[in-house]
Amino acid sequence: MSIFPRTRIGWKMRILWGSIALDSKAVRIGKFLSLFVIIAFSVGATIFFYNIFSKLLEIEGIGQPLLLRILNITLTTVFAMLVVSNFITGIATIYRSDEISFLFSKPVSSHSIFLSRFLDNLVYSSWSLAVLGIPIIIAWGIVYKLSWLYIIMLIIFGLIPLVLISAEIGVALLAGLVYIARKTSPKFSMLLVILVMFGSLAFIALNRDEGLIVEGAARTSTVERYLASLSQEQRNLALPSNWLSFALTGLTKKDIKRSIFFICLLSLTAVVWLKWLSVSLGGIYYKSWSAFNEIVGKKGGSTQAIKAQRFTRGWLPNPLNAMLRKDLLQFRRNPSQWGQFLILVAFLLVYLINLVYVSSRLDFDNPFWKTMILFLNFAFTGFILATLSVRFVFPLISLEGKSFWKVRSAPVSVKLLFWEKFFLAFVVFMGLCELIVWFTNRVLNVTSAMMTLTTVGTFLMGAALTGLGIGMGALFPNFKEESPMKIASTPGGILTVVLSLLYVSVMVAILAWPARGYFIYLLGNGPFPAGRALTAIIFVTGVNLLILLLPVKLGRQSIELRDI
Amino acid sequence: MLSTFAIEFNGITKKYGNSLAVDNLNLSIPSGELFGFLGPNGAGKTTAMKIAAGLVRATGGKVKICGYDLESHSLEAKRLLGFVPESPYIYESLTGREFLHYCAGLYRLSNPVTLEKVEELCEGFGIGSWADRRAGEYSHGMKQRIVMASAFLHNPKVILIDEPMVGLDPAGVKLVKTILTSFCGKGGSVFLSTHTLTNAEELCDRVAIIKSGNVVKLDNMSELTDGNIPLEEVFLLLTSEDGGS
Repeated sequence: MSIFPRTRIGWKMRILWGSIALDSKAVRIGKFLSLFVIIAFSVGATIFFYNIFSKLLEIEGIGQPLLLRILNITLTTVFAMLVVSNFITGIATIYRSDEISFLFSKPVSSHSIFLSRFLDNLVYSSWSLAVLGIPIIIAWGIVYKLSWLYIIMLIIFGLIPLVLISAEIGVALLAGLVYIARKTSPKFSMLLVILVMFGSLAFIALNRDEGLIVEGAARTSTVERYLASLSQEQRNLALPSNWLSFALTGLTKKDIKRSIFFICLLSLTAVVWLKWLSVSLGGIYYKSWSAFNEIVGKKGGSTQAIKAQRFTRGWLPNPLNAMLRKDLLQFRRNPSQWGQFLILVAFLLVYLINLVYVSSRLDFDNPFWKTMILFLNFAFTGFILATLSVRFVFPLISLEGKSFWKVRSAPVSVKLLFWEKFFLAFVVFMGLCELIVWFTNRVLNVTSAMMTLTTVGTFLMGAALTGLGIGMGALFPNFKEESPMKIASTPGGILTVVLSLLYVSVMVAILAWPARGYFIYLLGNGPFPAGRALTAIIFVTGVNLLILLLPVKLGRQSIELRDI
Repeated sequence: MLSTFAIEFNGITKKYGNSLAVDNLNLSIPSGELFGFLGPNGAGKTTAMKIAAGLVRATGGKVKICGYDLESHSLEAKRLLGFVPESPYIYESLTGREFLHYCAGLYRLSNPVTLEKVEELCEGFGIGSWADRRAGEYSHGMKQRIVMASAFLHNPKVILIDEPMVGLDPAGVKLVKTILTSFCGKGGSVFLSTHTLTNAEELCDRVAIIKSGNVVKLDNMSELTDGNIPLEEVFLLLTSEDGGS
């Protein structure tokens, strides 16, 4: 007799428990290790945020408003990412999952099926970002000496409703898009998505938040102006992420009424919207699901026979050419893949637009700001690489899917398969990141020595993170899942996120050493730190070789020993 | 290194935890033979087949394909093999023709050879009219035909085929029977696993019946049926709970 109740969640728990019971001992140890690392990461993140918040509060005058602004930006970013994430994962979970046709063949109501798929989607797409949100709330509470009851209340009635609202918006947008695609055409709906995306970009570029610009930060008068702008609360009331922000700031200012108001607003909105979604979308779910599958069916299409020759013709030898062409073609024909890639590129464009704007306003004769922004930019590039690696590189092996039998029964070594995937990812992401580094370094007008340091650093980071992504993806493969986003959301994916972030932090810390010397050199208080830079590069090369080769080797062995 | 035996299982054992899927399997299939591998559900047929295809690692023992050890000379052995799994999974975003060209690339076939071979197979397997549509739209039977065609693409010496008739229409079944017998007639070997006893009876030269990972009977088809006993009766007798020992 099972300990789990015969409810929807109970059955999910039974399936999860059953899958753990089927795992080998090594896989079970791996999963528990991942869980341990994730918990350790959350604890580490809480300590990290606590230190950052405490240090900021120590800065007289500017500390508190700056902290509030950082919190607001973080919550808005997390909220936006959750909406996008739910929208994209929803394609696989709410419309393409094999489970749906099975459920529709049973005497289960359309509302219940929709609700179960919605909750599945919510968990898949939100849990990793929610794990990041909890440390922020706890650190915030500790810094402002809130009681644990308040902190727990904030998580349950503040953070969780925010996550729920973002999932509701993401799914509602997806259902709306399916409706438009059914009424018009898939091409028109894709065009609409692209237009909305670039429209948002233009909106951000044209309505830049002036309060964030540190104009001539070295001058006292402008710092005062900046402080004044931070203190003004001119945030958009329509954004649910701002409600949580208001609730948090209300507590810190001992304005309990304000805090309770916004927490109630969040909770009520989440519940009312969920009810509305399950009634309205749940009612038309079967129609919407059928429409989506008809659209996908229409999209299947055909390809001219002559184009098939791309697999046996090319300047690369086979089987490398065939495997590369197959991976590129699969990427091109999967809208959720290139769609998300486009969204990431759009985020990057926002960053570049802001950087160009900031650089035009900043006093670049100030060596502190010059070195600081150069270095922050380098760290940011590392984090982009880490994100890209987990989202696009980690699923590469798993995406061979149920067709992996063909490669494994063909005369192709696992080693070749790994290097094919490695170079494909490396060339694409390296090209993108080196372009960002080169462009931003040009904007920041850095010296050729620092340009070389950051270019080499990015190259090494790119190689190591690609290796880490491929290796970890092979150590924790999921050949049954077709959605790359869901593959990246598995415990193995989250472990890769944690390891990638740790690695980038270590890299940034090592390179900060010569950068500090460079800052002193720019101030005229020391020589150019050539020795430090060389030592750092040697050390970084060693770390990178380890991060590149070890996961790839372990992943390759794991796939070679794996039964298909 | 080509051996007179197309496939050799020497003491193959496969364990999953404490359960024994294949227990000390010893079989030798000569060139030109169409060999049937029969057994009830969960007897270990698919596991043995996957071990021979290099998809599952044996816990003990060795498999040789035309004399090449699958463990130490896996690439040489796999070059001589064509495998058709029970579930014909293919990349859904590729067309059938693209999948065949992709497989040709994996086997390092040149472009002119591939073009000629793909045309021949598309015609032979009756897939020419829909070969340029994406596989996501294919039925099970259509995918089965594409996967079978891909197994014959590189002129293999050995075909491993798991439940070939599942999902095929009557014309497809007839076509596959013709192709398999013709392949063996030209010196190729087929290792066929099936539940469809009438097909086995009609096609196979020799048959092994497996139960709980052990071969309980290995004989020529005529010896096994003793001339006139239906294979179904023999099979049920050997695989019943108290039979086969």
